[in-house]
Amino acid sequence: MIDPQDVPEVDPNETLARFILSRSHIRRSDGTIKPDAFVPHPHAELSVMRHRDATESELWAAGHAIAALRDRQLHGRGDVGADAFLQRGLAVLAAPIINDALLPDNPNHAKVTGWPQADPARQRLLALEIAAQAKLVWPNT
Amino acid sequence: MRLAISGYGVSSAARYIDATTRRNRRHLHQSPAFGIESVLRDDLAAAWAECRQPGWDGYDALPVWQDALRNMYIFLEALPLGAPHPTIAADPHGHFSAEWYRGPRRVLSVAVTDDDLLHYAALVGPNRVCGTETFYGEIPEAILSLMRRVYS
Repeated sequence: MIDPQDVPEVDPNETLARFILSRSHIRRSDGTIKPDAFVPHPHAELSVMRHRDATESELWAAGHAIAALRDRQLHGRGDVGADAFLQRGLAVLAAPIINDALLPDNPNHAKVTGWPQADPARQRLLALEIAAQAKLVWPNT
Repeated sequence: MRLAISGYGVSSAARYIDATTRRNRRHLHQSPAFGIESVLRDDLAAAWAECRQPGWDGYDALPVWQDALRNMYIFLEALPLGAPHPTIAADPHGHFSAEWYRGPRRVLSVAVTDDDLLHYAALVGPNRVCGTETFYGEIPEAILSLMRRVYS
């Protein structure tokens, strides 16, 4: 994982992960991801996890920790390049979670901002395009 | 739940015809040959069961309330008979969405809100389209047109 004392800015070439906790966000027909997994709410920010310096085990541990907090099942994660967001005028900001009262530590946490705030249809269109570039990764057991 | 009053006809005859049409369409939707209810009811119920708690997506998603469930049900009933079946999901705004998907560039996604709005987005070939329509109980032509383009 990233050193929490030295968190670099997000590089456009980085891979980001969006954890999927709803089965309805995965298309059964071909295992692709629906836009609903990438629609931001409620602050027009989207939480993602950076792959940078993280092992597969660490990625999945973070996903399982999120699922456990909500007593939910982790169905997978959507891996997508940071540039998929940047190309659409969004920003990806490093947002490490350290010593939070509610959330487990995650120095690799980032947030995607700059979504059109008062335009849910446009948010859905951006999410649709980003989801089309994401790759579903099934969880480890 | 608020449902905007349809602008089609205000006479008692027009209201009778409208109510009869809706009743007949609902009956046909329940038929195994024509209906969508039997296929989609389980999907809708499963999505709702999954998304009724705050934070159901692992982040800050709003729960899906009954008004959203009812509006989605009305939306599905309003689909033309024989229309391709959408798949159902919930979004973090607490709405249900219906999606028609044939591939990465043949997809229409419609969020049905609890305040009678339809937020849609589509990728059809090189075209990207999005918009919002008010839901008066009938599927707007803008959405029907996109559905046809997805399946053309």
